[in-house]
Amino acid sequence: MDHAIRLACQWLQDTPVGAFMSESTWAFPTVEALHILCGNVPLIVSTSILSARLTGWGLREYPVSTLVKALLPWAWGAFVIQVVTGVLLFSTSAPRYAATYTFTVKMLLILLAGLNALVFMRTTYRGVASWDTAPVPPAGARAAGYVSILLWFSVLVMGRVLNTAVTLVNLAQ
Amino acid sequence: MVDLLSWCRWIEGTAPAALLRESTWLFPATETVHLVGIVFLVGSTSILDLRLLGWALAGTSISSLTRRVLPWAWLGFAIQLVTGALLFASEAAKMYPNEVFRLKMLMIAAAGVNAMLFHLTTNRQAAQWERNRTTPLAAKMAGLASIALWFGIVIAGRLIPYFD
Repeated sequence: MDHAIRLACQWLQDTPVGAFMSESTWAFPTVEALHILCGNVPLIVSTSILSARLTGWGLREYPVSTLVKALLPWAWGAFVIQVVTGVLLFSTSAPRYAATYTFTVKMLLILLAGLNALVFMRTTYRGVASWDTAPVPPAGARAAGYVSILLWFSVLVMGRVLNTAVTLVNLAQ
Repeated sequence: MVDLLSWCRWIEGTAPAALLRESTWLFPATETVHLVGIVFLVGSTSILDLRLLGWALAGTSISSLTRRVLPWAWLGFAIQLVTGALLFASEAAKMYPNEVFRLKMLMIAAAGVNAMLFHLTTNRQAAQWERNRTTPLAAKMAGLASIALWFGIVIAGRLIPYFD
């Protein structure tokens, strides 16, 4: 692992917040529950509802732009909560998390999910006016919908893999 | 009175329970599916709860929202029941005296009773108010209780291993 990254992770773990997160019995599981409840649930639910419409699978009576306007604030709000609670969880054993391949893969998957959304909003969605009420949106929108579902559920799975990997490392110490 | 503890010991000795307990990855894999179940179940109940509270989807008909959301909630509940039973079976005798586990089971029962009471009482007259922006107090209380209980259930679930 890169020296600078290791130093940054060690610094994060040594901050008062990092120390509190690792010393308290309650802090980790409670923040983990909030990571799931206020982050995971609204983020996956809001992106999945939109994906259902984009793939032409359901909610066909709603214009795509109406759903985007209604769901985007929830997705963003949830994402912010994911980042804040995620950093708190990460701070409990930052160097150990960062040293796993799983962590790198999870971060890359999140990046890809963001990129997928960005590309969709900048390209296919620009012309939404012409297919807003179409029961089945164009191929670009359908692809973005499938990729989004696949990536966000993979991120969730990688989160559990990461937790298990670090727990096993901690037990081995 | 049925001896629950010896029943727990018996279930712990069954083949699937032993398999889950002895494998490194099977327990976390089941836990992951349990987490997907949370997304389905808590996601769908929360959508309805937020509508009942008037915090989201104002003006959307509650009966059509319920029709839409309920199949997902039941699917989520089925996933939770199966994966939860497997996770419990793998360490049943240890779970039985765990106070956080008991609290979690009580809260699940309370969430069920809350949903049933709402369905049998306030929701009966839903036709009169279901499109209104502001919902009756009883509906708000049911929504708030549901959200609070599901939060409690998920937090308790995460806390269980810390209270052995």
